[in-house]
Amino acid sequence: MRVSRFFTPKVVILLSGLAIGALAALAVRWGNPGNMGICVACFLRDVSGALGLHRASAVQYIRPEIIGFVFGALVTALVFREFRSRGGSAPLIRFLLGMSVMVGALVFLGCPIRATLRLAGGDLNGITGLAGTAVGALVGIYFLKSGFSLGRSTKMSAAAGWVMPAFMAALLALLLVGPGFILFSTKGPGAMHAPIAISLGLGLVVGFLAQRTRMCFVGAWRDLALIRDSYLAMAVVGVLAGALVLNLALGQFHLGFSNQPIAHTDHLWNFLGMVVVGLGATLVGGCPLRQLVLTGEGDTDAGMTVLGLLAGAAVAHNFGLASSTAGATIGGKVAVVVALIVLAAIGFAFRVRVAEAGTAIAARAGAASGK
Amino acid sequence: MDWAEVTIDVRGLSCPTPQVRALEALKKLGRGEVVVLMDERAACESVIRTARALGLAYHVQMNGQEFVVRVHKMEELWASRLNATELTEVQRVEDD
Repeated sequence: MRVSRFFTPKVVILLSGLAIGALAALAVRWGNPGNMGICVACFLRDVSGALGLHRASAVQYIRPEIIGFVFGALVTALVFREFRSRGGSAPLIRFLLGMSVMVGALVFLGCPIRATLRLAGGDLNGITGLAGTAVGALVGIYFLKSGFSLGRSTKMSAAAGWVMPAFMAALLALLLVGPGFILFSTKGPGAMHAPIAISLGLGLVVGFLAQRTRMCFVGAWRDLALIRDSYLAMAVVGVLAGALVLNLALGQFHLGFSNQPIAHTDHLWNFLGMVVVGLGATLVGGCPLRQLVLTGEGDTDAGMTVLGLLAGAAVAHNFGLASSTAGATIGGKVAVVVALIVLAAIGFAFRVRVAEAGTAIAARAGAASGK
Repeated sequence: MDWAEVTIDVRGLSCPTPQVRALEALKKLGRGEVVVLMDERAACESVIRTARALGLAYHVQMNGQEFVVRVHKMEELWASRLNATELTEVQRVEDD
């Protein structure tokens, strides 16, 4: 954290947020679905569909943005010597948390970034989504304070950290070659996309900015509540402002709750869906974007979370849990309740006593506890 | 109040655990120093943010991929801010 007079970390993350918000609004202009210039959950869902993991024909496409996020973070981490292969911190639990987060996101129809972008496009359901995310993060803080931890990761062979980037490279090859077994939507949101080069470039830029600033759209709420620190929240403010200005300029701003692109107005389920996202992401240690960035830094545990997100999307569409513009489904409502129970169970089960967690506390100079 | 030094080793623990552990240790401490051992720059930054948010002085040492942040808590002056995030469980304190 080098601090210069004007470009303090807070200003840098605000400017990064502004850039990402503006790019997201432009991406809609260039072909991405409405208020979906960037949506990590929706884009992973499209990838899941393209791979045939689910058969919702309207949402199948290998989104180059996803590949760009990981590659952008990878290159940045390599340049700044922050690439470290590591893993082994409760991978299966992280997979489950990833699945839960995706199920919640697809009931709301968006990740925390898209909730912000939806609000910036005038979709007032974004407020419900952001409120849900914040409440979820608050519940997560309760677990963190009572000792929740997924345990330590350990250093791994460098090769391990390259597995997810290799997976992304394979996705890029499949996108460019387009073999018959890869499914691409011909109509619906999956068919709406910016040109590949633009999407990939946008992803790389976002990956770079997010890696440097540690941007996290769930951590923002966590830090506000936990330490009254607004550093990460500046990213949310930036994305909101950047996208809002560009949306107004491009005529993409439509205020209201109803008739919003790829959205519904089941307020309770919009809210609860994002509570699942906020809680799950707080427990796993970051929003879906942050997980992709960590994946690029060689974190195989984050890689497991990403695989969980892909699996969650498959489950959400195969079991009819994902909402449509008509609203949340019965299955989706049941799934949100189940996800909340699963998350609470994980939250309680993984509370460890500080010393047992390996956080050896050594007190010297007498007065051990200080009280 | 006696001066104490508490070391917490959060190497390998993923975000936000280092930050939460550092916060807990600072709350427990009457007066003294919390030394946080980390192996990740992002974790180091989050602990620095915590120290700054609490208005506490800190010192950072970098040694390759290892980071040591020493956060100084000189008096109980900060108690009111710390109380906003009350401890829920008593930390077990072991001798070195």
